[in-house]
Amino acid sequence: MKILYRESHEWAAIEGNTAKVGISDHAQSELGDLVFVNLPEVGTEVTAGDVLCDVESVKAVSDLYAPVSGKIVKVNEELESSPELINQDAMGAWICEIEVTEVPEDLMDETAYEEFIK
Amino acid sequence: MINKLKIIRAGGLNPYRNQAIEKYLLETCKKGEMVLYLWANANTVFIGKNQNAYTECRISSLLSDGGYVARRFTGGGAVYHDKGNLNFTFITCCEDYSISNQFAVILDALRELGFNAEINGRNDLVIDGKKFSGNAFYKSKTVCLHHGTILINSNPDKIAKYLNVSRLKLNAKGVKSVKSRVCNLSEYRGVSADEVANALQIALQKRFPDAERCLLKESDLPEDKLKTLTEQFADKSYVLGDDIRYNVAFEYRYGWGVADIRLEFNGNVIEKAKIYSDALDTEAVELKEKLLTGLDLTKPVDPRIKDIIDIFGAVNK
Repeated sequence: MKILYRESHEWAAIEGNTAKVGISDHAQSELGDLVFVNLPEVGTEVTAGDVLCDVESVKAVSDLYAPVSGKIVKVNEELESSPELINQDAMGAWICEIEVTEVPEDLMDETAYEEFIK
Repeated sequence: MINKLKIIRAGGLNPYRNQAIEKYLLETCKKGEMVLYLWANANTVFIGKNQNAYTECRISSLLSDGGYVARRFTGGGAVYHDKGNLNFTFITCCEDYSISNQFAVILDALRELGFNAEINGRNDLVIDGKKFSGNAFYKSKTVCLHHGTILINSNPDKIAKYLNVSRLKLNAKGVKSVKSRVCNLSEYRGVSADEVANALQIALQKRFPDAERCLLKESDLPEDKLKTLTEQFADKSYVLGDDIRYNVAFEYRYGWGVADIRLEFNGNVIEKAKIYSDALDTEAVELKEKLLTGLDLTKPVDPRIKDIIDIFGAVNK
């Protein structure tokens, strides 16, 4: 499994041809307490860089962007009733799973991302 | 750096049309621009992006009084709008976005008019600890938006009438509203929406003295685009929420017994209903369950379950 990050702070944990997608710990701390996760719909085809879904925190509604292209095959329904899971463990609380058709080249590995948010 | 101020005031009071203008301004905001959009809605409950319309407002009485329910694309709780409430919207590119600068414009304008207003917490503006302005925010990759209300001489009875801050235990999914002590600016000093709107424009220009000023009218915007956006904001499934699978649970003492009612919604339709009750007449309770299941809330309701539906303000007469 490898974890790659977008500049807009989403991560994709890629394993075989699927990727779990979430937001980074840096993103959750910038957003503040999450109060709602508007999950994407299973079956939707997304292109990397498209709006994937949005989240509402005490500060704002913010769009999230798809880090990879592909079809959404699963969503983490636990987040519907417990959006705070993202605040508690951003790298563990995946939002959806994508059957990957393309991984863009401009994604960052963890070292590069750590450097990026410094 | 902000080098252009785009100032526009909505001509009408239709909430969907006014939201369309706001969305258009958001979609077309360019680097270096700051938009200040001023608008008011007639008799509208304006709910947050992720709220459950049925548990936040008394839809039935609002609609029968000729009012509107509208859903904004920013978060937070439900507010009541009428023409005694002025809304403002700031839009900039993310690099020029500064909530504190934008709040400063509002506070400068109000101080100029003689109001001792201050920021309370993250989202509210208050006078004497009473809220007259609620604020909400949206962020995309490139553009940011900050909008809010200013209560000037809004009808306080209507706020209480339509905003359904229920004493029932409601466990609907979605973001809940928080009740605040509110006040109108006119309680402190006679002031009109026009005066506040003008003061805001002047305060904005003072804060960005080198920026070019560009006054726009609604008629300067492309009508076909506004029409499409207006339809989207007025769309019933958007407003009432096909997107959220509601689960409503509440307890209430009815004439026929204490009931713990669980409803699962798909849009306006109750897909599943379960009543746990101490009522002796279990057959009647089962019948109520049956009548609730499959009920479309936009259609007339069977009188035998009207008391259940009325209790969370969801019946459209």
